[in-house]
Amino acid sequence: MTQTLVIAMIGGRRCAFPAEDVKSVIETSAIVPVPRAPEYILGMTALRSQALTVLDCRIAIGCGGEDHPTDERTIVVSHGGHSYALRVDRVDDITEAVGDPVPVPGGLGTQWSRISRGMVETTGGPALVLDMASLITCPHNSAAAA
Amino acid sequence: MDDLLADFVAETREMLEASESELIAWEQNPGDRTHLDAIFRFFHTVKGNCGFFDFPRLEKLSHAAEDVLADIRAGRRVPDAALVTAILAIVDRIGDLTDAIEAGEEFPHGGDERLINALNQGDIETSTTETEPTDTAPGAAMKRQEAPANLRSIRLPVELLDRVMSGVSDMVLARNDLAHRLNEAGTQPSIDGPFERLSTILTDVRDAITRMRMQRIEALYGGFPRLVRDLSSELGKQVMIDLEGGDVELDREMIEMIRDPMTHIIRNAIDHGIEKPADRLKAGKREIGLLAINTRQAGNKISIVVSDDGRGLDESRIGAKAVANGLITADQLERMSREEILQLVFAPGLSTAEQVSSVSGRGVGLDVVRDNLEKVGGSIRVTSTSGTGSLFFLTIPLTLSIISGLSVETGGQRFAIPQSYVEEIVHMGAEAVDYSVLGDSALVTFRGQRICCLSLADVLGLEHAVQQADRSLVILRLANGDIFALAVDHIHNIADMVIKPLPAAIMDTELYGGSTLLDNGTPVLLLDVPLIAANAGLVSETRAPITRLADEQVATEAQNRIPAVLFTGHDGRRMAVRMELVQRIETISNASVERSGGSTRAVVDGEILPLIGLNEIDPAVEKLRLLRLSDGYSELLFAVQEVSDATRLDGELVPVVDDDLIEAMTLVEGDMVSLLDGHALFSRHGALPKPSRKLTCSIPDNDWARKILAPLISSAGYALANADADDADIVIALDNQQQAEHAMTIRLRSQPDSEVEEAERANSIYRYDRDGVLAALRSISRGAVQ
Repeated sequence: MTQTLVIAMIGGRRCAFPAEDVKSVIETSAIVPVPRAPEYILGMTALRSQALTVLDCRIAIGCGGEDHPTDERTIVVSHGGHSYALRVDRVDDITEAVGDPVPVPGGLGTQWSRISRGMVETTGGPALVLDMASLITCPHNSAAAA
Repeated sequence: MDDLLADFVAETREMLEASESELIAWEQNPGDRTHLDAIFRFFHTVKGNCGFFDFPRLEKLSHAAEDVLADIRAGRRVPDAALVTAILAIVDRIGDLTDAIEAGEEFPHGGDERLINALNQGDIETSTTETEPTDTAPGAAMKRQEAPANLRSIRLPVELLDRVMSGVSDMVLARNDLAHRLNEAGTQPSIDGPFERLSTILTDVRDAITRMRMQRIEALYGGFPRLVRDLSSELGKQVMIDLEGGDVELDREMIEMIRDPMTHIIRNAIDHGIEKPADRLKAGKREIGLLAINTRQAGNKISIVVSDDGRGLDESRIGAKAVANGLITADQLERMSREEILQLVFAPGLSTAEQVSSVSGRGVGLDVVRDNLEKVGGSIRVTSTSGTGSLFFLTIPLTLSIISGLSVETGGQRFAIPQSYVEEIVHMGAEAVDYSVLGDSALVTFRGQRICCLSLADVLGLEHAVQQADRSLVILRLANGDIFALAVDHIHNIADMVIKPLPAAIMDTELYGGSTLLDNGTPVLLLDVPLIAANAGLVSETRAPITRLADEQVATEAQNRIPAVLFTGHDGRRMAVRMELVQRIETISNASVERSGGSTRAVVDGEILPLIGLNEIDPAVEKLRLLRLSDGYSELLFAVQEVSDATRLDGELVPVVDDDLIEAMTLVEGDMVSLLDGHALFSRHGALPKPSRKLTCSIPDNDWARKILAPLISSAGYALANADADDADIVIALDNQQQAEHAMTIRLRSQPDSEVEEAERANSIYRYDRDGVLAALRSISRGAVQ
């Protein structure tokens, strides 16, 4: 089974979003902050008259690296009836998966294993497959508290 | 009732189809409980519905099937093929009966018993019964084929409607966004026209979709007669229910939201309100108690009044109980009015029923009713007369998703507040506000009462962008009557907002209730007012009654005061005029004032009105400030130097005798103020709306004038005259028609304003400009009467 993946860099790591989860990749215009929201929620923005919640994946995962330069492009996904725009370091490529996701030899570390189902080989090298639900709904605890 | 019946038929037919396949699946796998449960539910539902509609045959059939299935569920009976066949025969018969009901026909009697017997015996005899329905089957089958042709409605899943609704809401937002962009790009006639059309169509579609989601409240009320009947017989009472306004429509979802609160109030009224027949007779009432539910729509709110003619609420018992339960102190009770004590029934932890009956007193109190109503933006209040009954007033919004919201700004960011909470908007700089900080709390004075003042910037962890004195206060009233103030930087506008839910991570902040988009496409967060208040410790149930108390006092006090506009006249006197008389404040140029004889007139909005309050026209003053006063019939202008404030006169009114235009003198903040006497003012100077004799108006001599203009003129109260009549008061001329020069000529033209020169526009009126023509007639007739 081959699967189309959107490859993005998060905190310097190569990550893959299943293409069927990704609605579009947009350049976010103005982001309206949400006062008192957890840190990983950057704010709200509008896409075609729809409100999106903008998340910073790097803070949500808690992998550090939020100081990596970002190209302001975000990945729009939909989960639980809400739409989100995910900020990453940069959106790289769209590619085909070579084979199914497999566990990473040696493990991922607690923060990454919480949001990933394993790695997948692609033509451009291995990438972590992200689990959208846990990325969005269950942010890294220390990041939420920070 | 027909609607309900159609619903019943459609629902039954739908379930029939589903249950047939369930039955087959169950037969193949008798151990599978889920199929069995589904079939059981079908018969159970049919039975319940039949009781309501009084279809004894259907009820008997479904009851029999339900019994058998219950046995199987309980393991008392083992299903076999014969039994399944018997049940299927019942399903068929129910289908046939349902068809007959829909067609309004009588279904041939007989045969039911045999079907039921077949169930109970479960033996091979079913084969005979099985042939029995086939006798009638051809007819029924034909009917079933015809039925779809007659159907003028379809059943849709609510989710589909919701999807269409949210799609349309998104379209409205996209339209707003586009409108904003078009606005920025400047006028482009080739695009603006089609865009206007698109907007209009979209508005229509939105209305239609909103109505699609609407359901008559009958859908909810349908079950009440049964509820009342069951309850009253259980309690040994006799109650008649009177439902009015069942045709009021509201959002389906909203109907579901109020189902439980309404049921609870009805239970409550029958259990606690209406007395037993013997007690009623003793009290001199009819044996049968009356429970009336009255519904009506008022704007985008629905108001429901549930009234009963029972014993009413006993405020002394409520009060005593509230004190006993520690809700209020005896001292507070002393100072509360009957009305306020009654509202305590909505406080948590108060149940006056001495005995917990099986009906009420299940741990769900009126406090839950109030909470649930508030959750959807509604409110509830009670009034009662001891011995004669109680009235519960419920107010609920029409829909859940579109609300009217006030948009405010703080720290450079916009937020929205549901308008239903907004009591008033006050400028922080106003003296009456009296801002003071005590400990960590800030207090402001509002209508003579100190209330807590939250800063929105503090609540949200932002910085205010403007100085303290330049901020505005939004006075918010929660549904339970608690009031507090929220300081914001700026107030923007009130608009209809399409509210979208927020993800859980944002909801967890307990600050926001949803989001909406502004016209320019920027997202705006909707503040969750009750939660913000609760988190700031502003909502304590024990405090609620006291706030209400103080509030009530202020309100009665306020009633005794006269709302008035304070101003300084041209003679330098400080004066006041009753607010009701003031239509608006006008500013006109000196040139539009004309003096003739003893009276002065001025032209405002193309109308000539009498002007008073001005002795000399100072040529140096170019602009004149005027109060436009009206008694509802006639209008006049009062010239003023300066309008200072709108206030309430609370000082004593001292009558004045020597100046007949002044009603009384009073004190406002230590200054002497003369209150204008409206009666004298209008009796002396008011321009009468109708002349004592009908003015005659001559119209052009052509078809258009006779057919189209003449009815307008005569309905406006003028007598018609021929074009050549030379004694007409007013002459109307069309286009370049030659007319004897007359002082009171109104010129009409056939070209719309957009097609003629500026000069021509001022000179004549487009003949279909109804308002323009009427205004011209009015201003002439006013002048003529003077």
